[in-house]
Amino acid sequence: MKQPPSDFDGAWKYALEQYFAPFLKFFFPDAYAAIDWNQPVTFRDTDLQQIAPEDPQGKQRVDKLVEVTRRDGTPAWVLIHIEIQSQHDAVFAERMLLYHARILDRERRPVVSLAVLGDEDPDWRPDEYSSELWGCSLSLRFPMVKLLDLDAATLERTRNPFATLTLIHRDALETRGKPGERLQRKVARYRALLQLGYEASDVRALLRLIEHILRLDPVRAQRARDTMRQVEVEVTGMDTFVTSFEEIGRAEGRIEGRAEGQRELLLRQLTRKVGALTEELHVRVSRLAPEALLTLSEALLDFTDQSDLITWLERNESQGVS
Amino acid sequence: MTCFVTSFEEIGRAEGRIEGQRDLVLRLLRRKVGSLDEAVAARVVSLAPEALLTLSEALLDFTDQSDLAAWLERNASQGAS
Repeated sequence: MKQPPSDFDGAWKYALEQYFAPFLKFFFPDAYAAIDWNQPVTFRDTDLQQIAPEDPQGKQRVDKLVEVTRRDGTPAWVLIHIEIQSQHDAVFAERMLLYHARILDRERRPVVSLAVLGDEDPDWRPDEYSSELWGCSLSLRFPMVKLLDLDAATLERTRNPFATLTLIHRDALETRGKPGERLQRKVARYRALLQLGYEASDVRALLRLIEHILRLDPVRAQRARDTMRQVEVEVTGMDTFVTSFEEIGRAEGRIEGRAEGQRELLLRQLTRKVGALTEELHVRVSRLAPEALLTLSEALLDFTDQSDLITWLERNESQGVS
Repeated sequence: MTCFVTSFEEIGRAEGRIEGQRDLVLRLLRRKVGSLDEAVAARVVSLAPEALLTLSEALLDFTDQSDLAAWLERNASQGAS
């Protein structure tokens, strides 16, 4: 049976939103130490979309823009880029610079850009953008963490959700196309995190990450859940479960349902607005990513016939397809 | 057990569908007729799934808030969930 694809983006995004302080503490301790954690931490998702309109999220990459307060009371903006796959060197470093410069231009405040590389190429290690022409030079150096570099034994010992997420991430890379081994690792990973003594709420969050990343076909997924329940009873000595696969299933279903519902609504509106769609147009609209659907929903208010839709699709398809 | 887990995914999916459609209709209404006051937004949110789809088509012809008010008036009796 086919192994469903790992949802690395969803997992990293969720973990960053839930555990921003532990993220910095684990990967970028200098930044962590300089931030006043008694002050509010604000995710600036909308600002990020505005500075990067051409760059939809969810392409094996997660970006986050976070406003924090330093210990001396001054604000700072932290830009985090997580790359799941290796990108062409020049393009990645240039993107780091562009985002950095755009935030700086908008906010005129200190900006810190941080990179986490989750790919499998040990030689891909961008940590600098530089250019020079006619005696004029520009460079941006940024702290970079490569997940492959981290020592497994240390990760196993560390009770930080990002140490555990790194292990889950590496489990997934190492068991791609090996469902039997993945099933074993999934259960072993769950046992190990229970033994580390995480709080129940952390166990639930980490289990969610495991489910997002260490995906299995339905039959093996069920076998894994049954075994993980036994492990839970063994390790915690309780037969009331801290975890809820039902809750996780419901949350995942909800995300899919949202996109499905919006797609259905949009197809109805389009038909009403520009007449019955050809089979081909129907397919092209159905393949749009959730973010692109939202953009299309506003654009269609000004459509008068199918040619408007075709023009819109041509302009937006390359970036918006899921 | 398999069916049990799947059924939760189905429940979530149904919840997500209606939520996603509600959000989209509210977004388009705001774009079309300007910001909605709380009472009007609440009436839209309480529409049954079918009525919401009907509204999503009707709103394409709206020009201002009175169109929305009139539509809600006409559909209130049958549409509330």
